[in-house]
Amino acid sequence: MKLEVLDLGTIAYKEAFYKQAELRACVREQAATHTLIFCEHPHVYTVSRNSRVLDSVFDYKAIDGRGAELICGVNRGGEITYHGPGQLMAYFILDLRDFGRDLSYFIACLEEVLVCTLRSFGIDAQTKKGFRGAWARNRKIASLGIGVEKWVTMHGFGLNVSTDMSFFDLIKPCGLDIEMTSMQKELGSSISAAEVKQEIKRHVAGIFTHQESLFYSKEASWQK
Amino acid sequence: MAKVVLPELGEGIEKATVSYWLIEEGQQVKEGDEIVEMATEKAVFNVPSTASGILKRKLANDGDEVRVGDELAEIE
Repeated sequence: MKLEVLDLGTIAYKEAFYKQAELRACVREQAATHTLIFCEHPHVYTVSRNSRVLDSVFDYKAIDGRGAELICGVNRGGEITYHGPGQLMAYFILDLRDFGRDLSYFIACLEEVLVCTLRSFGIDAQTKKGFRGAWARNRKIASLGIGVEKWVTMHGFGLNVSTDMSFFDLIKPCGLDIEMTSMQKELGSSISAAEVKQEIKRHVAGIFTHQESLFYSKEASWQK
Repeated sequence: MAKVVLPELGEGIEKATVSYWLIEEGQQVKEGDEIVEMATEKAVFNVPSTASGILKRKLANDGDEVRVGDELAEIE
């Protein structure tokens, strides 16, 4: 079993969304292999289409004032969140028919990847009972949300590597009153996104298949 | 009459919420066609029809919470 890795660099949220949807259709038809997409987005707030977040929770003008886009109706779980420079997105286009057809296990695996990755940088990360994502003590450092069609996933997680945390001040991330943090903030020093990607890849290979040979990388030729 | 139920989603997931129906009552569906979008805390997913025929009756409305194994629709 192989998992292709695409690194799309900085890409608009919608463009990455369309790429995921296109790939998901191919994976479902077995015309493409399982794929892990890395990217970052320009400032954007996204709201899931099942969100219970009320309009009053966020301030449209303030979002505009920060130069951020607002996208509602996203087909993932979760509530409202922020994506932007310094936040590493890992999108998983996986056919869960090859991974036990277990949504809960898949989400737990994503959390395990996050915790192991963060710990490998010396951050005391953990999951939190009753809440999803990865936490550094009581601060949330990574959020996740997925969409599944016919057992093929899209979306994944956003890990705050060197995110400007002030963008979270405009919302209640995931609909919760919580403090968000980043790897840079926790460690007090800057982190290379390239190193974080390597660690994520290593732990994905270990956790999903226990095979180090899971990956091969391919240049994102579609972008050119 | 075939019943569509909320399938097993994995250990620990016992219920999901109806996001919205993709098919209306009276519409023709084929086995495997996705008929309703459901959501758990961190995931959204579509439930396929288990039979071909007419979607006779929806047994849950948008926003309703449904447990694994509960009936979602009747296909005739």
